[in-house]
Amino acid sequence: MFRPFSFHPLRALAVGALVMTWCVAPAYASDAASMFTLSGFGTLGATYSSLHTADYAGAAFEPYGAGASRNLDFADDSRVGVQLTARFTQQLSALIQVVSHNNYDNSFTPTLEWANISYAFTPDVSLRVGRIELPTFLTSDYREVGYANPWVRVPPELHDVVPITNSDGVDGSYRSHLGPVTNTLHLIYGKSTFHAVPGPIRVEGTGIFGAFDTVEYRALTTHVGYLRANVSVPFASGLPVAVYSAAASLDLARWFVQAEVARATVRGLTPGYIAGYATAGVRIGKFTPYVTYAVEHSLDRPVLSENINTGQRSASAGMRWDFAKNVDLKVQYDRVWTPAGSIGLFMNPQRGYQLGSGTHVATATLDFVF
Amino acid sequence: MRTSMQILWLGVVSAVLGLCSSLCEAELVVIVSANSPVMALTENQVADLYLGRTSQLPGGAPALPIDLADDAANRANFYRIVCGKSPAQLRAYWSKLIFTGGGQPPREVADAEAMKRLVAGGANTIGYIDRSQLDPTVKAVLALH
Repeated sequence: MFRPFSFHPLRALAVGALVMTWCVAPAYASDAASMFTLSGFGTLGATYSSLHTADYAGAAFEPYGAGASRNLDFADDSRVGVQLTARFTQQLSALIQVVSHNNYDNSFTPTLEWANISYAFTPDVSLRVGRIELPTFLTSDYREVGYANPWVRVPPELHDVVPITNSDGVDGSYRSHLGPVTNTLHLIYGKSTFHAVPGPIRVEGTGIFGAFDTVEYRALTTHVGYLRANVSVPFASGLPVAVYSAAASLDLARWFVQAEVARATVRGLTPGYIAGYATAGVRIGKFTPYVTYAVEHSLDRPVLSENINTGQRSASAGMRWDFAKNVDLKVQYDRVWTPAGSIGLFMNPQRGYQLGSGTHVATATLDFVF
Repeated sequence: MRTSMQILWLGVVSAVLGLCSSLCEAELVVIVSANSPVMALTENQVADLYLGRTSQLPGGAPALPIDLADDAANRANFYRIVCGKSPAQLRAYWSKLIFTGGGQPPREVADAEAMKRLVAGGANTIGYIDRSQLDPTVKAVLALH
């Protein structure tokens, strides 16, 4: 949870950026309108899961889900975010994003998702300092922006293997152009502290280093990434994390396909996973029906304490309806399976729950951006 | 059987009509100021500028792309031809970039006249209008079919 008054150089910098943003505003009142951009996004969701002996949660770190704790869960897939961008000069800009979603402690206390200052040496070379998004996967940057994604939620089988979304530190990005091909190389270094469920387990990620490369050519986008870090939990420290990921997306006028695969290991803490998904959709006027298949497969590596998530699979079908400007409505059905002996991504197992159980999930979301 | 033949014919006729209406549509041109050193742009260059993938004109000057209002028919036509994206697809595209600090969509103007005025007055501004609206203050650097 973000505590704005505990001193930390990066947080101080983030707060500094915020203060600067508001103090500079009156001095350039005439330019203020063009200097600042306020944007926001949100999702109102309702989730139902047919398995009543455990919870199906839409994202990692949510304390409850649909099924056992809630019959119809309005917290699971709901969130709202506000972002203020300030462009002080051609080179210097700042960004602050605050998101309210279901936290590990079941509150909706807004958290400071990102807060950074960016300096562009040239239009294609920039350096950022502060709290920065961690672009582990193709859709990591905008995983919470329902409107930007085809689904009601990013496939949890993939995203839950590396649930950290930001890092406090620095990053640099270098964009190059080769004819019609745009290549963006991204290097990031920092640390991160977050809370995992069950209970407020404080997890610390240090020495986070990531290298990501994105290629854009017309409707095609590819993304490859490498991420390493050391995580510390209350019962063990300095466990090495390594994540390799690759993704491709083809977004044409009539249809789209997107697929992603990652290998993620946290020595001693998880058995390691290979996870991924493939999704495809067709645009028919304002309607976009889509199907997705996602899998999380255990690598069966040794763990310090028992980890009964040895994988999960799901097949989903849904429909997006762009019924008005900047608003969409989605419905999605998921069939979820877990291999024998695995709890998968289910939480809060109740009496009568059996490992290896699956579920049917139905979700409706309303996404908006402004 | 007869009904399915009728549906087939209806399909063929509407496809022919659809083709005609897209052929008979007024031609769009990408414009820069008459004083601009830029002589020609390719469809890919224009797409990259309007999708925020590059912010520089050939030669290195910072580009300032201008858009028509969100509901303008020519805006939809422009993006369909240049990027193959629908208005809803484009809004989803920009929300990805906006919420990661990856950029802001091009500035919007009310109509083609306003766009022409802005383009004529700015050395690095680019826009798009109907070929019929061209005048000596601006020059066409790409014709869109």
